[in-house]
Amino acid sequence: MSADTRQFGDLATQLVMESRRSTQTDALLKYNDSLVRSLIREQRDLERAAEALEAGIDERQGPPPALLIIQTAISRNKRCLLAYHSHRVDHLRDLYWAVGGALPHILNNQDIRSKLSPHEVDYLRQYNSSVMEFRSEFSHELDITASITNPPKDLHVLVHVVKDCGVIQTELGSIDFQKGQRFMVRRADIEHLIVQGYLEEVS
Amino acid sequence: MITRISFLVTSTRRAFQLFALVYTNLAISETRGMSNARQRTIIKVFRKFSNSLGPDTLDFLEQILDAHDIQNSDIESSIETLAKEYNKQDDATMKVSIEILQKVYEALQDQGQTHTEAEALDPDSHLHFINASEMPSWHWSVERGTFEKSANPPTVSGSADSRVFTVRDRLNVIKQCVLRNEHFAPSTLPSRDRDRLVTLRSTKQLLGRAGERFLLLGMLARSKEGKLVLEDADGSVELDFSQLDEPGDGLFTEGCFALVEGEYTDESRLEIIAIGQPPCESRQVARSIYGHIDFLGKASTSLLDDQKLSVRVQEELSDLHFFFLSDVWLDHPFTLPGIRKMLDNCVENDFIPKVIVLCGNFTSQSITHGNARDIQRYQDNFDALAELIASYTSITRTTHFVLVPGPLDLTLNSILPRQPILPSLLSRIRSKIPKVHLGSNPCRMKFFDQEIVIYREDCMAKMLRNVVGVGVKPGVNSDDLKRFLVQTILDQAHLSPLTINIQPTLSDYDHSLRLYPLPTALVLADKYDRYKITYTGCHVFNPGSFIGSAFVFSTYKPAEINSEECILDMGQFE
Repeated sequence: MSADTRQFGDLATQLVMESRRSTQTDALLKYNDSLVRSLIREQRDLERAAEALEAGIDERQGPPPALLIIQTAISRNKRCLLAYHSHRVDHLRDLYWAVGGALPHILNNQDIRSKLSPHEVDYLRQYNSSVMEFRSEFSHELDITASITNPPKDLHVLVHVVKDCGVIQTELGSIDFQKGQRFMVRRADIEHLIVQGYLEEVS
Repeated sequence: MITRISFLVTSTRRAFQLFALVYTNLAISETRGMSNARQRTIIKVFRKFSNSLGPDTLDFLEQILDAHDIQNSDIESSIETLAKEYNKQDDATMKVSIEILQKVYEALQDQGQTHTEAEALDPDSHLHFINASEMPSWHWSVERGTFEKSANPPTVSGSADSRVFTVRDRLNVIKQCVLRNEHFAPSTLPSRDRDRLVTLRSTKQLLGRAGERFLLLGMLARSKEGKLVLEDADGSVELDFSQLDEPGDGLFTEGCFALVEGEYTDESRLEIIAIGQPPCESRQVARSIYGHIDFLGKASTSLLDDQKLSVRVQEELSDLHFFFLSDVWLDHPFTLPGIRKMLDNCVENDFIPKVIVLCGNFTSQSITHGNARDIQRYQDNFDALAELIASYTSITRTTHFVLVPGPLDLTLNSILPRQPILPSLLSRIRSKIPKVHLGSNPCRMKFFDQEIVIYREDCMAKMLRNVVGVGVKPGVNSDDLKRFLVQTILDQAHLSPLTINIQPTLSDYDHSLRLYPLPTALVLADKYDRYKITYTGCHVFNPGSFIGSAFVFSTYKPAEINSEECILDMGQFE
């Protein structure tokens, strides 16, 4: 690596490319901690270089052109870092809503979990508690975690059990969901089980 | 009854009709009828959090409501508090598990948040003792660049693969630290510094490049011919120490990972110019990257919570102490009077420690080859200790006792990590002292956000005996040696940086010897002189032998992350 010449902001481009790949494949990639760290280090180096230039500014001539270039590089790096993180946060929020706000479902998935940075886990937890607080005001009337692409047409639904989930207590009694069985149940009782992939609707 | 049950069978497809009928019947037979209003509220609240309840958890929740006499109007808010806390747990599942719920309920009671304002911290609920066999095994995955839980349950014998992977794990853990370190990651800007930096290479890149300078990271080992080589993941290279004046700080033992800089010669040897220990990473940095990994198996806590807790520990638990005693030779005539004196002092000054750790050896002479009488005496000594401690009721009520075996003690296995002392020898101790923990060697304590590793081994002698290359830096005194030992162990991120022919380890349990992320404190109980050194934010100390010219032991203060040596005069016994 040391031999090749590198331009300002090459690393930032790599980071943004990663976000792009993630969008194109619609997959969450592993948080690139090492790249983010080296970018931050580049920022620090750039700042040091800028400060050195700043010290030698001649009042009459105005700032030297090198300072402007460094300034541009710094703000571009910053934009790329922000873009990368905001893209990830967007993706995490999508994941969160896709499972109907069931945070344990995301965090218990080892595959997803290994791709998150600890700060992202903290973020998801706080986001979850904010959503819960917001929901609790009108949870009796409206469930905002329900799917909006397939609006429910019936009060009851015929479901097929995909994953074992044992005896579940519903408002109308307990049901023992075992893999391969079919049930006609009240939709509201098991909505979250459909969203989390335990049950499947039979159309 | 039937009409109220809403499991209707639709016969949309004939093929499934029969199935559906059968299972609907099943469902009806298991239906226990309508839930009452209270149960409905509970179910609704948990459904809001996308959780489902089984009958056992529902019963448990109702019991809680009954126990606290909660009015119908308050049910929703109380259950919501529980559900919220439940979902904060790391291992929370969709279907509420009763164990986790119980844990949450107990935690809430401790904090007193359900009914009253938050009370003082309860140290007992945040004090855990973790034996080597209880730690989940995390392995470094090169593909993913993070730690992964091993799929196979660990066995005592270990497999051929696991032997290889333990050494690779050690290399990879160190390597990822090195690559992150600012001195090794090349600066991203073209500058003068960049030419001076040598990047880390692999032994694979040496071939045919005689006369060039290389920086390698690898394990110091012996080749088949008995020559000292540097071995990394790709191969090995013979080392030539003739040009080296003096090695860097630290003890370079066989089995230790070192950064080596040198020139590759025509005789396919590496002429060493400099050798040094790999850099170490502080606990904060490691936690900020791998904070979500639960290395200890006691539920990982978030960084934010840890920060809050550590501030509270500093403020509220400033008078809390842990005692560490090493080489408690129970067969020595002065030991029990010494412990009595120590406990007397505690009671007189109303200075009750939260934890007393007694490290081995519990005998001054090896009895592994001894006869039945020796073993009987060994057991009797423990019984006498039990009687002594049990007579201080004010101490046994609150203090946790931990027994950590030393190299001479009777345990199931003699290789690291060692199992706890045979419980059959300690029956009286276990029955007389309520809060006693039989620790393995090494064992760990988790106290709020702190991790304390206790390891009883004669590290200093063992490490010095196995130093290779040109030996230790010339002209060092014993203070330097202590510093070198601490530095080496922490830099190697491993309690036993030696090859398995010198110090055998159980390969499936090797992760319990790993020191990554660095613990808050490390107790290196050793027969060597006592010392305390703080290196990269990790407080390391050796309590020293309990019996000497006086009774000596160490006290550790979690609020300050610092230890102090305590000396009790043994005047009256001499």
